[in-house]
Amino acid sequence: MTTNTEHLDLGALAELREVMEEEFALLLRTFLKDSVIRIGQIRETLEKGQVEEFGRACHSLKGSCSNVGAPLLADYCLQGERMGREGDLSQGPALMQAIEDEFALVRELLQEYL
Amino acid sequence: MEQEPLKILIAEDNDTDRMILQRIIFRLGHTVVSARDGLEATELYEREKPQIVLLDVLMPRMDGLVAARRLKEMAGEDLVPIIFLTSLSDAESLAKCLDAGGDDFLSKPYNPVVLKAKIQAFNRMRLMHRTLLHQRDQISLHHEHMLREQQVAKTVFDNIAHLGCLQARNIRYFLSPMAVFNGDVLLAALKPSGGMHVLLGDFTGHGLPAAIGAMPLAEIFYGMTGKGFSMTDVLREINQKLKKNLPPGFFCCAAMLDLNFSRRELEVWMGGMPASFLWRGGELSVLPSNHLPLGVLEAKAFKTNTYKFELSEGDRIFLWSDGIVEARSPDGELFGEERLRQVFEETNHPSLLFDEVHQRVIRFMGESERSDDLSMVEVTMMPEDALGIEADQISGSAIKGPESWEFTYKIEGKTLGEFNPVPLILHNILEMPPVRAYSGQIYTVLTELYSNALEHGVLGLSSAQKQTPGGFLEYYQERERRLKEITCGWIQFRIRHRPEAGGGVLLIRVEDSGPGFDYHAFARSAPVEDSYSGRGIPLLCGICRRLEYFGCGNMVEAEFAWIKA
Repeated sequence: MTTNTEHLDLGALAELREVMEEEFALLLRTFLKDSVIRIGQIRETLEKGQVEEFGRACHSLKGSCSNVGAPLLADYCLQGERMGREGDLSQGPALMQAIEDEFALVRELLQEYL
Repeated sequence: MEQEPLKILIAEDNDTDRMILQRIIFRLGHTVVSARDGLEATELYEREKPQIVLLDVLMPRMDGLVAARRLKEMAGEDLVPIIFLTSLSDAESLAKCLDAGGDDFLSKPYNPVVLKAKIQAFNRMRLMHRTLLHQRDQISLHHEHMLREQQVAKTVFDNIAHLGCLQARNIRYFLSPMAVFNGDVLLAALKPSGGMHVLLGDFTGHGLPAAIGAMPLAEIFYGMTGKGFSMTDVLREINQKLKKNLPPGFFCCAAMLDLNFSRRELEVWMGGMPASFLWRGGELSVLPSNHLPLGVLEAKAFKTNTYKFELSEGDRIFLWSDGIVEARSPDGELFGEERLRQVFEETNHPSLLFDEVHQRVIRFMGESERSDDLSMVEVTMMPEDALGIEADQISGSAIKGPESWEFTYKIEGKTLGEFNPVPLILHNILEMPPVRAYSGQIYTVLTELYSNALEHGVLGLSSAQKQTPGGFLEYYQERERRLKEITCGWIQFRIRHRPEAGGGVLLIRVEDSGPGFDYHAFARSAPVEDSYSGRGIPLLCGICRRLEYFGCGNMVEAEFAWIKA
């Protein structure tokens, strides 16, 4: 997966709208709801120091981020996945903050599509 | 190309991703069935029986890898393609997915174009697999069908071929039970005169085509041998039948024997079979084929010249099909005639030869080779009463047949050289079913009187020549020569039958155009034992109630009385 510094991939989003048709808005709402839960899970695993679970949770979120077209958020998740694999959560808290901030931004940007 | 609508099962725990995937597949025109984890996926599979499965790898309750194994088990023989949905990118994880039974991957973000292409490709594969299974089942069915047909053919053949005397003590053989489907046929039958015909045949081809030719061959062999026809007559008839009825390129290699136990004579016809080996008192004679196989030549071109031998008790001849000579060792070498000769040179006692040959060939072939197309027979000269076989079962008949009759039959000129009337005359006599129990004796009488009339009367051969060992062969060569050149002369049979208390009496009169002989002189001298070179008069006197010569000795009448068994 190539690194992308965009908050929203507008091209991907347009394609998604074409695919989802009348369910596009529902999908985005589902994504936002889902992501809140998943970010919560990531935080929990970090607080408990569960390295593998942290990596897996980041991996899960990464998936839907890439489908929806939030490249930067997906990239942060990829970094979290790597941390989990390498067993080093020292940068965890900093990444957690980045993820939460980025998500807030993405949510804001997606409002116009809902 | 338009895709037929499929039912596709997806298992994805992420709501967002699942929604997107459902949509994409729905837009492609297919039906979607969704599960949230591996366990639900297996339950849904059972219920819905989808054609293709899309599985996320990391799922709660049962992950994709375990689910994939289960689904493949449940699919059984059918091919249900499983495509893993994953954003795993390392080679090790991807390999694990394929090991679990996955057929492909689809990575996130989901690309509708790629998914469409993969669905199409796997559907093609699925359909091809189904065709394969269907064809496999068809082949299996056809194979079973063919085996059943072969069973029927074998039963028919065994019923035709079981009449016969293969269990006689002078015959040893090995032949696989299914040999007829390799084209190998072994037949043996007693002649009414007490002699024996043996035939080893090898038809071209395998399976039913090879077996089919064996049926008319067996019918002719048993039918004609039982009526007393000569070996060459039987061969000629078989050749003609096969030539007429088999397609071009189908024929039967054959080796045939005619054994005369009372005279200890052997006649051999070899057409296309590997050379037979004759063991006589320690000497080995190799008899190569000097004729084409049966079913190749037109009747006119068919040749019947045979090897002729006088044998002693214990002498034996070996016939085999090419399975023996062409047996291959594990490294492809052929057994060959040389090795066969070696066996004969190295084995001291003749009764060991049969087993020795068999053992050596089996050892030569080694473990891997099948030995079910080895066919071999050993026929030994021994006294007739040592053969250990019952006289042929006479088929019971409810009718009496004609009781008071007579007929005259005369052949003359060239016909004398071309036609033996004895089987025909015997056939007419045997129209009285109760007399069939005596066919052997009647045949002997007819043959002796006919041979005398032909050889001594018409052809003018001297019986004294047959006494010497070399003279025996010369006699028969001279006989052949004179028969070919004959243009005049005749022999006439007059057969009469009258019923008598409890049976009947058969009067057989034979007259020939020859000069006769001094039968008065014979009556005065003692009958010569153990010599067959006379006119067989002691033998005839043993069978007939009365034997009388008339005129100059070219007319003889034999009276044969029979009683109902």
